[in-house]
Amino acid sequence: MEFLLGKKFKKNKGTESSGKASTKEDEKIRKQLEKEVKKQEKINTKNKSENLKQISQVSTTSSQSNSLNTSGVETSDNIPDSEGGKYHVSEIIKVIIPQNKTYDLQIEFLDNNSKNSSSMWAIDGMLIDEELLYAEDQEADRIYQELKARSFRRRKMEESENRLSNAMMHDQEIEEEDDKPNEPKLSQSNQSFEKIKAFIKKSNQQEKLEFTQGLLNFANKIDKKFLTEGLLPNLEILAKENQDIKKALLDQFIPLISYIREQCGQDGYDKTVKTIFPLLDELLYDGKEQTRDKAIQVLLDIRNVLQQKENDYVMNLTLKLAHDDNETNRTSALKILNELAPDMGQTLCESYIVPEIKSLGIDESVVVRQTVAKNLLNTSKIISLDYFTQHIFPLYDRLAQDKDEKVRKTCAEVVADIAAVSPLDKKGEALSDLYYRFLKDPTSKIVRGTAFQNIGPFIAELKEMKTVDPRIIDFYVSTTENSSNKDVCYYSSFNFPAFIYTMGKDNWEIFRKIYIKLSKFNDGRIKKTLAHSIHELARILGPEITEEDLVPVMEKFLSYNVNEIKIGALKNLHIFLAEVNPENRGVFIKYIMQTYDDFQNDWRGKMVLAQNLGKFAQLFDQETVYNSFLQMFFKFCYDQVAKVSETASTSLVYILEKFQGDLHKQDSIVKVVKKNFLHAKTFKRRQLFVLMCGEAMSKKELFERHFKSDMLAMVNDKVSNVRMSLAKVLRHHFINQINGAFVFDIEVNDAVRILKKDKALDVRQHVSDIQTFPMNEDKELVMTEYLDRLSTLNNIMADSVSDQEEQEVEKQVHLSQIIQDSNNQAHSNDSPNRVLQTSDTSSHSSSEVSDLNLSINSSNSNEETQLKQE
Amino acid sequence: MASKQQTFDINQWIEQLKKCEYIKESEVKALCNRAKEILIQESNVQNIESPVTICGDIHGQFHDLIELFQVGGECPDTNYLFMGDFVDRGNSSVETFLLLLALKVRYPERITLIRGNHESRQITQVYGFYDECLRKYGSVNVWRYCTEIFDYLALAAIIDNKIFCVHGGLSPSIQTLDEIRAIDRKQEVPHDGAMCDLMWSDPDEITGWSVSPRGAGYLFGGDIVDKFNHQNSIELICRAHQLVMEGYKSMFNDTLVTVWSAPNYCYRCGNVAAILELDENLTKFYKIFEAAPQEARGPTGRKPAPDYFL
Repeated sequence: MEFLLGKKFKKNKGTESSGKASTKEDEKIRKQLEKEVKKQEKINTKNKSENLKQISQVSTTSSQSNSLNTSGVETSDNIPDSEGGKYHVSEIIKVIIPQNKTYDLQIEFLDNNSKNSSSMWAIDGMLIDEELLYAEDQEADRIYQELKARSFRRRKMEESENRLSNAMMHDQEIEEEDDKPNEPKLSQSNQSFEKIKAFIKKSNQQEKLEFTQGLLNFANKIDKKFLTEGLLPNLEILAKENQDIKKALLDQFIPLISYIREQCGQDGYDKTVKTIFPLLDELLYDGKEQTRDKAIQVLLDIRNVLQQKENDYVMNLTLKLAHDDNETNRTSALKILNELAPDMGQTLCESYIVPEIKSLGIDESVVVRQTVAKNLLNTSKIISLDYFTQHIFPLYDRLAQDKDEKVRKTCAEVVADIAAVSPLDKKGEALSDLYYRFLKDPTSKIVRGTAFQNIGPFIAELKEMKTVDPRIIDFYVSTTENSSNKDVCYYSSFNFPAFIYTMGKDNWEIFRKIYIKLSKFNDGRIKKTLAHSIHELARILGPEITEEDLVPVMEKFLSYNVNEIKIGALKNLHIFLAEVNPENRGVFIKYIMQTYDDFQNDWRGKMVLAQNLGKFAQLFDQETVYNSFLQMFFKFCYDQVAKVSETASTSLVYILEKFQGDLHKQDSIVKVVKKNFLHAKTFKRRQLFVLMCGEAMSKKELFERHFKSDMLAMVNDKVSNVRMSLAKVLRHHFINQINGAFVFDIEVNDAVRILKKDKALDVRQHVSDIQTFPMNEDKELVMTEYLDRLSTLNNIMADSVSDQEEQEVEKQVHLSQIIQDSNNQAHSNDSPNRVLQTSDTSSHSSSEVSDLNLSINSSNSNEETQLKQE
Repeated sequence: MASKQQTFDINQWIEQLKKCEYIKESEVKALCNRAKEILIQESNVQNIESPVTICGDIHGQFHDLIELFQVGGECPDTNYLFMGDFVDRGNSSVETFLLLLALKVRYPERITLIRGNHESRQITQVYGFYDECLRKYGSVNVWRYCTEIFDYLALAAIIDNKIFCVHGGLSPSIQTLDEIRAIDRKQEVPHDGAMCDLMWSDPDEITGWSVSPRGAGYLFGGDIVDKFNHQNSIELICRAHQLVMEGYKSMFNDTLVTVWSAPNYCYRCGNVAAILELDENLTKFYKIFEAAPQEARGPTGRKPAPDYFL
């Protein structure tokens, strides 16, 4: 150990002269020692080897650990106490250095990006982080070496770039001082060009690569006048370097165009484009595939930074590619042409792109012909229908009969897309014949299979035709009927809705049998796709068939213990149930409640229920809502996932609507809701109350009866987030609900007016563009007066709710259990504080539950609640 | 097709970034310039009012950050304080940091970002952010813009004058908050001294101070926390910086808590994450969450395969 330190110090003395550096060196060594300790401890536990030496006590100081001979190794005794602004280290550290272990701690790097940064830090940065600390020795060494090399190169690069940049500035200054007025400009740019050129030439490969990767870095450093005259002409040199440099250069083209346009305007942009395109042209034909791929990507992306007039450049390069001997280039050209088509317009597409596609359609290469088939769509959409009929459709038809099965397969893949862009007269016989040929392909199973996979999309495209070719329907039905192959049956299932959609409910009998068969097929993937689509069938087929044939299937899907199937069915269960007679919906309650239990630990599952809770409430009777959904509502509103509680909160109004015939019950529920949300101590619950009210604004009577004054009084909530929620809800009503019931309501408009002057910017922003009524009202609104006015609006119905009735609702939904669960979840931990926290919050929650004296109708009840609880 | 003029459409950028699409280099530059104007006005110890939700390390785990917002509520509905280490390790440091920064620019009052030890030029060159910028933008310019912003981030925050939040911990050279306020923070994270310690230190079951095995910052004991809290009339120190398998960990009789917000850290640690919600009465609610499931991490921009065809 001594030896190691000594050696290091000798080296250090040799190269470092400043006192500051030696302090750093101390620090460095200290860190090094600690690192070694940690590493050694690890080794130690594995293998109690003997060759370990305890060397000394190490301590650390915030100030100088001064001289070289102490070298950061000293006893803790002589460190001043923390009283004096210093501190001491009480721990004695065993420093153990394994054999043959030396890190060269000598190298110092200045980070040019920050004037204050310590020169050591690059190495420290690596030493310090825990990954290295716990890394195996070999790995640690590797990381260390890599960082060292990288920092070294980067610093060198930065330095030489700076030197270069300075030299160029210097030349310029000399020129400016010069007397001859005409010459300088030319020679100056020449000089900058020569300087950069010399700089690149003398760099090694690695340096060139890093220079290229940081090209914009360099561009940032030099004066902008050197960009076009000095830097651009030199790109040519880099474009002739090795593959890595070429690729790095290609990466720079697009940002460089943007950057130079930003810095030098149109003129600079023109020059950049003129420089870059010939280089790109060259790189598109590079010997290395990776370079070519990258160049093609650039050719595709570069349009994003080009002006309209430069599209010709892209087009010319692409056409040239299309005629290249290399088949990859021809396929790339096809992809680019397809992408270019929308930008080119009809005339250019017809006169340039279509002929090109046609000639590649008879290319000798299978891959090229396949690519033609795959890239017909954009062009087809742009050109006229006549042109399509005369040129593209015959081309597709020919490819569909290609002698190579791969080409035919690709044609079968895109058949629905082709049908979509085909004119009506082609959709009938011509396409049906063509498609039927695929289904019956005599030699290729893969063509038949691909065609079958796409049978749904294809059929759906034919919907506007009066009849669908019966051969295709027969083929689908008989194949499905007779197949026991999982894949075939999966594609049958996946595409099933398309047949019902196209053929309608009158033809259900044709499909009924195969649907039952598919729904019983023992395969999760098949069940999943059917579960997701069953509501679509119900919607098309109507109540009679739904109840007869689909309800049993739906019940099965809901009772599978596989979440994917269950969620698929649940997602749109409300749409399905709308097609079931109300008296027959009851059986589904148990499935909904069962999944509610199943999803306790899966918030995404809960979301499916929370999203549909309001719709479920609408589908069932009052009793069911009270017995089942009301509890679910409370539980979700207390869920710890914000998304779940926010989503569920909007269902309240639909739940309450069920109690229109029992207003007293409705009042009781509202009272419990208000006690726990409107009057909650925690702002998040009050935010939820705002959301509940916001949804209720669509039900005028109900909103006025229960929520209007309490919601509007929240303009005075002390937490700005609550006011912001209110502003959002009001904004939604004014902006998105054009016929909103309260757009001309005086109190609602006054609330907006008050929020427009809210002290929080974010609140004001949400309502700033709402036009209030009456217009041009400039009467000053006084908060207290406004709140008084609101309190007179309150109706007294809710007051008539007795404590007992209120408790009955609470008991019905097990509210105290819900609140307790929610608190336990939010505080469950093993910290010593746990008991204290829980007791603290349970008292808080019990006050929410049982404080019966809260004045519901007081407009500033929040503040009152606050006071009471304090 | 025609080149679009650079516009400052912050809402659009937030939309894009939320989909894990990174914004253009020139847009990053504009965003960072605006962020700088906002951050430069913040104090080293930024004052925050409750309610606020406190988050720990994110480390480029973009999809888990989105999960965090689902659990904690979207910004600005919920106010957030992120205690540093936004970048490195995870796959999407660029999107993560830019999203947080864009939210900061859009809602300066609703989100506070303080600096972690990974918000450093040197660290990010080794632990991923530098390489990610190079890979995603083809140049290091975005890294340069971002690391410049790092120098402007506040060092700590204090909530209602009662809860002190910092990435790492305390420093032996700091006794009072005013001493932190006096630091010239606009610099790279130094390798020692007060500013370094705030980002590197860890609490430990010891008495007094001790050297840190990390090689920077210190270990500090409960007595140090007591003293600091007493001297500065603070009730609680909130910090991040250390992986906690349970998401959060309370120490020293609940005078200090570690909050960790990167679930399944480095995509392999198997830990859960936590955020600490403080309501307007400073009541604490810890929310635990797990890593976003696979289907929520898929390549965005592309539509998921349909469940059926119609």
